[in-house]
Amino acid sequence: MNPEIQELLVAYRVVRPALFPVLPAAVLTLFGLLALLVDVFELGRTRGPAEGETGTPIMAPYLALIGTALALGCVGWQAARLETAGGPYFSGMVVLDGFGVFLSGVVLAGTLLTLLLTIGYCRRHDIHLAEYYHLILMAAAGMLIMVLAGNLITIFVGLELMSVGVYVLTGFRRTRLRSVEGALKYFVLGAFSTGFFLYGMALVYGAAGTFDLAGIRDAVSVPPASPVLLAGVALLIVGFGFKVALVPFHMWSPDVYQGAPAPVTAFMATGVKTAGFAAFVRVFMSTFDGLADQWIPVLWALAVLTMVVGNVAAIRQDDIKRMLAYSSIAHAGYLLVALIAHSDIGTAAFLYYMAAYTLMTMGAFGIVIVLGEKGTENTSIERDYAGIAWRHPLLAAAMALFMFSLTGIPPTAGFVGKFAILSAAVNSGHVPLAVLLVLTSVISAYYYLKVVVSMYMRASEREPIRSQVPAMAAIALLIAVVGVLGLGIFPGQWVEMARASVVAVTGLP
Amino acid sequence: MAANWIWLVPALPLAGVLVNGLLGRRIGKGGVSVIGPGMVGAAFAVSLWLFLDLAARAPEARTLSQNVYTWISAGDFRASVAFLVDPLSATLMLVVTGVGFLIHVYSVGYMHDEDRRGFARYFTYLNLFTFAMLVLVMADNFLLLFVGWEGVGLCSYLLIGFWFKDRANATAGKKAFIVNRIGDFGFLLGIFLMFGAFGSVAFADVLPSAATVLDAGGPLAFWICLFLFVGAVGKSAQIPLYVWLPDAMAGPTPVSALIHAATMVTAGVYMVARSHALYDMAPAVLAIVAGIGAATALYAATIGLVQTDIKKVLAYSTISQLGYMFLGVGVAAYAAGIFHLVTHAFFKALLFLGAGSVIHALHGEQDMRRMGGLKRALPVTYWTMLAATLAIAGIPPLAGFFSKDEILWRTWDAGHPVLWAIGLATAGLTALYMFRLFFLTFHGSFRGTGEQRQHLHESPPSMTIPLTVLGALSVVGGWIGIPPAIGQTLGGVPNAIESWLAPVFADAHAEGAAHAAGEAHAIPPMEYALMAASIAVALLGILAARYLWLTRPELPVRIGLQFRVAATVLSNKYYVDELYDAIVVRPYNALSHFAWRVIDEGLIDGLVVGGTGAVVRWQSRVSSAWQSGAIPTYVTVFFGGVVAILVYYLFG
Repeated sequence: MNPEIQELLVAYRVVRPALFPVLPAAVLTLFGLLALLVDVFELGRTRGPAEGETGTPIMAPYLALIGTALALGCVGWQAARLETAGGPYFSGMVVLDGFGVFLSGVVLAGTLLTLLLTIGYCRRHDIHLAEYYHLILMAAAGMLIMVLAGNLITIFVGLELMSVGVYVLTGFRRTRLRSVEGALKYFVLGAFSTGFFLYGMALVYGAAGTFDLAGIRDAVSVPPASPVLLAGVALLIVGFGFKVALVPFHMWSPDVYQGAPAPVTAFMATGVKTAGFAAFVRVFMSTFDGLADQWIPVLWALAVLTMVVGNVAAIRQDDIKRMLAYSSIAHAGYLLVALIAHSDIGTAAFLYYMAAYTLMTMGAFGIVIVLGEKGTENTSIERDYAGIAWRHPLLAAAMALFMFSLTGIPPTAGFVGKFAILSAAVNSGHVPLAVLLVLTSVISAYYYLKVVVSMYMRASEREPIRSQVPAMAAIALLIAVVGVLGLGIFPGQWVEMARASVVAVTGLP
Repeated sequence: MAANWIWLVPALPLAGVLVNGLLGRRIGKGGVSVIGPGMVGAAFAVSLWLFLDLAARAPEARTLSQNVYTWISAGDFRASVAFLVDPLSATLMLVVTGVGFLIHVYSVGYMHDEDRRGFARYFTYLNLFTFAMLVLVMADNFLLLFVGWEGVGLCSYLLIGFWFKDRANATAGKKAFIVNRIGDFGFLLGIFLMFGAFGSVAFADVLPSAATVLDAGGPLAFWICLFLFVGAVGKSAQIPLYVWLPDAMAGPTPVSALIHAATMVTAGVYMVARSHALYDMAPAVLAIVAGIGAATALYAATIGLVQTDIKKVLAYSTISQLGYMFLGVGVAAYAAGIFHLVTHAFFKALLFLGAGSVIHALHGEQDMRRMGGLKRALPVTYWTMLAATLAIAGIPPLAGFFSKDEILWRTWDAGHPVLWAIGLATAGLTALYMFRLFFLTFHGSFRGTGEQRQHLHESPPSMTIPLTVLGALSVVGGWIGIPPAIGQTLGGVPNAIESWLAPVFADAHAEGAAHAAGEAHAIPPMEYALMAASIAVALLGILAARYLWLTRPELPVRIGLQFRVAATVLSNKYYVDELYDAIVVRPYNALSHFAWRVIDEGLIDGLVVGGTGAVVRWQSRVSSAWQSGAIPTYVTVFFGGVVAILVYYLFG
């Protein structure tokens, strides 16, 4: 055998165990590149309407779907092998723990639903570029890296991989002004926030002498905390706060959510938020565990602001994507409460809520997506959603379910999730925060209900929406409906799984 | 043995939901009319079986329970989907399924004109409501009770908005939902505090240990009970959260009968009675409960006096009667409160269904000024309504007399003469406004259009049979609670309901149990005096109504002119809706407008203009490039956040 090949094989044998944690991300990258490649060679495309015009990519969407499904399978494999999995991997740059695997599953489930919803959307709105699928997979790979990161550098790499993909996706409908405007705003502000994040990393490095999360924890465990370290913590809060849209770092999100193509908005509301929160919670629950007295007051204030502003501002919105943007800000506030609880119960509640939130938000956006028509997304609650219960009873019923779940009404996933967060907060003595959470949820009933009222109790005054639900979108919606009800009525094993997943995060290597 | 089948009671209506909801259009109106009422009827049969099973046991052993599965288990926290059947929940189950069944049957006739799809949808919601209500009364822990609590609210909202074409319905549905969320907010907080104190939310853990865990009159007991009561105030439409109930009358009339009279609105009374062990530790809250109950009873009765819409009168009457129930539980006469809940379910459901029959005959007319003289055309409706009206007015020996008088006597006996006087005055007003409704509707001459007169007809049997059954119950229903004061003279007739409920409320008033057992007991002469007073007041009310609206019908108008201010205030319902609009709704909208427009999208623009020059220049450069120049605003807010956090860390 060729000695070079032999050398390569030896090298592979050394590297192979280390690949295990990043396998899902690798699969996504591979299929993302494949989707791009087949398109470059004009394989798997329909013939364009005229000579020289491009047709619809056929192969790329399926490659993306298969890749995501395979990656999800890999996550399942990781979950099964979790106890025997050793580590550290890549010198501790990557960690494999229950927390990460659980959230990898959430991210990939969100990606899968996004893809299922995207395919019909792209046909309807004449988006015929395979890059779209490529970018979704690459962004998802970035999310997985963030979720499993054991080092600030890894977090940053994942963050950028994810963000760059999402910036481009936001502006994908480049003929629409709002889409371009949203992309530009997202990019400019994203770059701005990245600067803060990097600066925060640098300051933490200055205080701790390492980027390694475990190393930092050991270095900063001796009080008192230096001003340099605290400034670093502050800037990291800002960086994460931007990605997960906490007030006052949230102002980009309504514009961007409204401007982006609806499936991309769904992807942002679920995937980006999950990945951002994953790294956020990991860094603060494990690395800065000893500084809890320092960061809890700040996050407390941010949670209060986020819940209040998100919920109150949502009331005035008529555009459903904008309303859901404020709604997702409000939910970021609820998730923050789980972090503030600063306990295993809180982290388990966070995991559970993340899964529930992904399902119900995906479902709501799924309905928004299938109600769009060629050239228009039909996003006015007053005008476009009026009376659709009569034309599309199943879609309306599903939407009502998602709205009730977002409000937190039993027996849906949203209720159990909110309940878990509330009991975690009360358990840790944050009663005022729990009261505020309940109070702002009462406010939220108002705007979620507006959608239901419009669908069921208003006569439509426009020509009926002609909407056929593509088979793939129907599958996605069915998954979301079953998930929201299943997690609400039989939450037992999911709560158990979330609790079991927490054990690992505190025992970071 | 019987315990293994408890799950059937809620499962049967749920099966009805699935069949009607999924196959409703396929099985047609005929199929739906069998499945919808049939499932509730079957649930009634099972409930009756469970009831008899309980009754056959010794009083202390009268509890059955079934754990279906563990719903939430997180750390110490555990909540199960588990059902509890004891004398209290068995009583409520019989009311919910029994009265519910009659109303389902009635609905078959009432909703006859709906198309196939609407018909199936209506029965789906109605079955769903019954399911949720059964979960509420059968839950063995507070969290599952809350699930039912939210579920009935949701169904009520769906059913109020049933006729979506009318914008008022949609608004009313929304109002009901949101006002109830305020109450639910309190309820949820109460549950959390309870969990904090007891480490559990199961009745079996919380209630028996209430006396040891809580200090009597301590702040913890006070807040838990107060928060729970906030929930009850919302759900049971008491001051100050009653505003949704009159608006909810926009829904179909059988819905008003089922939800807004017989079952859902009484959930608050049930909940307080169920948690009586907690309330006994918080006498201050009990005083609040009694006070709010009495105030609501009187207040709503005065409004009912001037309403012209037949359903609105009944709505205010319901609020007023619920006030009585709270007065009862507030003076720790829990069994009396539940007793009134049961009899009220009979006669108020009947009143609503009778009103529905009248409205049906007049093709949707609800204004009593255009009714009159319907006695001849609607004989069954007339006679059954008469029974119900006499019952609510408190004329012996009809149902309302015994339960209302029990509450009044207990109030007096507990040392609250003022509350008793309010209750007595309300009793008189009740007789007055109910007979006003009765005379305006059925007596005198017909004041509707000629066309309406030609089409006057008695309702079909599917509607009149439930009326008749409820009519019979309104007459004899009170006999389950004959007080010893009368029972002894009749030769030792026991107070059946009180002794039945005694195991549940035993520790609350052992004296009550003694009463119930029918032991010879010296009856204070005062009790007879008070009884006579309330009968006299009721008769007076009826005679006054007769004089005012039959003999001298021009007199009420003259009185109205004479006391114009009072009349205007009353007919505008004390301007409470306007008040809420001014102090809650408008500031709320303004606040949200402020938060969105000013804080979120504009405030900083002002700062930017006078702010750093670089930002301004950047703004002018980029704002031509894309639609709005919002980025500088966003950046400034963002930067403000950064500075605030840094200042906190470095100088805080």
